Amino acid sequence: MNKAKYLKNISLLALLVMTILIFIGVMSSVTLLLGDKKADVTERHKYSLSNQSMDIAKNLDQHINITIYASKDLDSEYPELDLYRQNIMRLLSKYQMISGGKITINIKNPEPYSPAEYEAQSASIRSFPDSENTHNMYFGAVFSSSEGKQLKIPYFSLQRQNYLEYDISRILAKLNGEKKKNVGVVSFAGNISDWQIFNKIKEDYRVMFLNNKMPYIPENINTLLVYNPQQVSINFIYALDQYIMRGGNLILLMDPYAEVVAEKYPYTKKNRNLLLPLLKKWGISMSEQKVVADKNLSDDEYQTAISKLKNPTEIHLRAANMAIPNFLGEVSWPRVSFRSAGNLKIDALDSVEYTPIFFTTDQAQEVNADIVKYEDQDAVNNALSADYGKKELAYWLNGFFESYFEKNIADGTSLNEKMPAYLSGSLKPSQILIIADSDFLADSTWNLTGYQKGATVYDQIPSSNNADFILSAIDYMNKNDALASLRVNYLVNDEKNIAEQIYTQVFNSFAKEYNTKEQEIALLQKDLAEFKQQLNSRKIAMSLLKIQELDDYNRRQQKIVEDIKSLNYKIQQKSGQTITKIIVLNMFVIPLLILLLSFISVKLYIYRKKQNNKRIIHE
Amino acid sequence: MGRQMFNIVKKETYSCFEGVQAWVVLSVYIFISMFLTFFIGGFFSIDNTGLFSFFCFQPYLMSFLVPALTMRLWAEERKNGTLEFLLTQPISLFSIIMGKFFSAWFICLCMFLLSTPLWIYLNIYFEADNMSILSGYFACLLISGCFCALGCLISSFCSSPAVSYLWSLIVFFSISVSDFSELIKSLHLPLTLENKLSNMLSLNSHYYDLMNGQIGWDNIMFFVLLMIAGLWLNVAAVEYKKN
Repeated sequence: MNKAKYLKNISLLALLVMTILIFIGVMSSVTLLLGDKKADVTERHKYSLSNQSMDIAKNLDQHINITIYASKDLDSEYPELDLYRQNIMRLLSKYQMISGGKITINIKNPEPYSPAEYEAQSASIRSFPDSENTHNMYFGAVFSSSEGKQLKIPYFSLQRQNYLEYDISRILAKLNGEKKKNVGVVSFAGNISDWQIFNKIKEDYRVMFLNNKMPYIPENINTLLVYNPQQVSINFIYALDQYIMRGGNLILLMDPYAEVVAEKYPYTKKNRNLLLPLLKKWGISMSEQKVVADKNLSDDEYQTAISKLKNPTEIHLRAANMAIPNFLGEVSWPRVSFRSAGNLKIDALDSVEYTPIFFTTDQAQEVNADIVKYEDQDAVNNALSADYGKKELAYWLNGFFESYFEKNIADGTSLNEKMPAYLSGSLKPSQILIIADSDFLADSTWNLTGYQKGATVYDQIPSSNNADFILSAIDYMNKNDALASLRVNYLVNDEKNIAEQIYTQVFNSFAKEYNTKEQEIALLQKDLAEFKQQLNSRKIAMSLLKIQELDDYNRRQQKIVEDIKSLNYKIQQKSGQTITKIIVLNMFVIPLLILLLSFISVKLYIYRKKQNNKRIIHE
Repeated sequence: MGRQMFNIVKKETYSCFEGVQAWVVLSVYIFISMFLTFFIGGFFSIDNTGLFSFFCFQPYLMSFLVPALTMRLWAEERKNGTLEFLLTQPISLFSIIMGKFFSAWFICLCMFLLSTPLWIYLNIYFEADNMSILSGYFACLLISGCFCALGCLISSFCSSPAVSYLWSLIVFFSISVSDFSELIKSLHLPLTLENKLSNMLSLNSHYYDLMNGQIGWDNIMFFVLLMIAGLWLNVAAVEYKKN
């Protein structure tokens, strides 16, 4: 009896083991054969390769070997990095599949003091300590081509997850790619070569920093970037003019007040933008005195109404305030930021096509640049002009131009021989991008990482798409279409959490009231300023009545400020109430109602069934 | 066989809803699930277009709620002495097992249906990635199906529902938490193979793939195979007990 039971137990155990083995066997085959084939059903196809990446992988001319250095204990030490590693592996295997065998992937575990660790170190893969700080860990990759070229991602940063596919595709394109083109940079604000934007441009182009006094632009410059043209020499104006006459591509960043330069050189004398007459010849003008302010764009949507009053000259544009031309990508950039930008106006030339790219809302105002310099936000808010209107912040110009000069400025000098011949009109069409804000490129405007010694593009955490936009423009100017179209797919994370959405919805329901109050305060401040001016200029005599009138102004202003504060409090309270409502509704009310209804229906059904049974039995 | 199975499903579901068991499980599920979503999962503070805050806790929640549904499937029959009666009925053993399994799975489906108002709410007032959410619900259904099949199996070995609940709880939590990576590491395989193997055997890895809207044959096969294995072993176990 016992023996029979023992045999039965053994056979059951054998069956269990057999089932586990069959399970592992079938799962292994399925994983090996179909493990990499996944349907990405997410709305934004977060986990699929874009067409541009697929083209890059398909058209590889050479064999690319990817070595991933990932420490084995990543899963126990940093589980979130391990999850990311799995995503990376999945993405790479997609590239591998599409490349038709031209990509091979190796994974190495750089254990402490192992050859793999020395290899990772010599390939400059960045190390980081484990949680107990006992040994170094690694999580990076080296991409090598059969030609011997080598590029690397020193560290897979979680914060660059959105750029992962772009980073990989760009490296593959570069390993496979052609000779780098030249981008010339002329700065009138000292040395800016350590800015992150140039690290980014250098990835795909050769960046050449040029002297800002040179009378001609070298012929090998494919695109010229001119930064903050102040105190410009006549030589350079001539150089720029002739560069455009030869069909050169130009990106010009200028503004009435360059905050980054002011931070760097606080005691410099007032600058003058001497390029303005040249721009006028191109049909563009910009006031040197006025800075654009737009309260509707001044802060992120989720920030409080009071903080919107803080800095109206710091503006962030979203899709509604952009008209990105098709050649720069079919989608709008999620967010582009400006700091004390100027207002561009056009006086169109027939031979030039003008495309406005960035603009404010209809409610934008202007403020004197001198007031912005003192960084007193109350003063800025008080000094905003009362003329509301849409302001243009960037233009794309494409066409033929006429020279600003009548002859070569170096005529009759020895310099003339070195310079290219004078042209009075464009030989071929030029592409010019004018952005009315030189802070547009500064790290603090678009990059959360800021300046770090030895930082690479893989350290950048973009908060705005400023750099992406400039790079797309350079790509288009250099006819580097594959890279340009690839870039537009990888934008900064514009995900919004539910609390932000609730705040925006509630804020919108109060927007009319809020705007009325703001307009009231703007008008009152204007009246008050006029009244004070009259008093100061002694146009009206100071009397008890006037003092009372002044008090009345102040009281009304105080009242409106109080109203705005109370409105803000109401918005916050209502947002909180909405959150509580969502929790109560979804946690208690709706489920309990459904449960109650189902309970009643089921009980009724059971009761009727029992009655029915009873009736049958009775019958 | 289909009709016999349907009758068993009806009988089991009916008995669940006739008492308080199903109602308690449903109420506890929705309350805890929403509590985790709103207060632990940070529903309001992260991008939740795919209802990540809701789905990320489901395997753990299923680990302790599904045993409450499956504990009585066989154990109670044995405890009440109705097992012999049931097995002598002119119904195939397979139909009985499938009937019990589907009735438990049906209640899981009711649990998920109870959470759909949140999905509807998200669609009306905010942005929702509906395909991703659908994929998340599909993952929940598969994981609950697996747990139901394994729960049936465990119940068939136990003579008391409480013991069955405890065993199921231990097994399900172990499956949800462990990912066999340490075991695989000790085999000293090449890293590529090691990664593939640990992903292949990890329930969480398959669940997260589906939850994130990345549906693959390997993910579906993992859950389906687990279900089949659980049910097949269940047949063998009941046969064993019968003899």
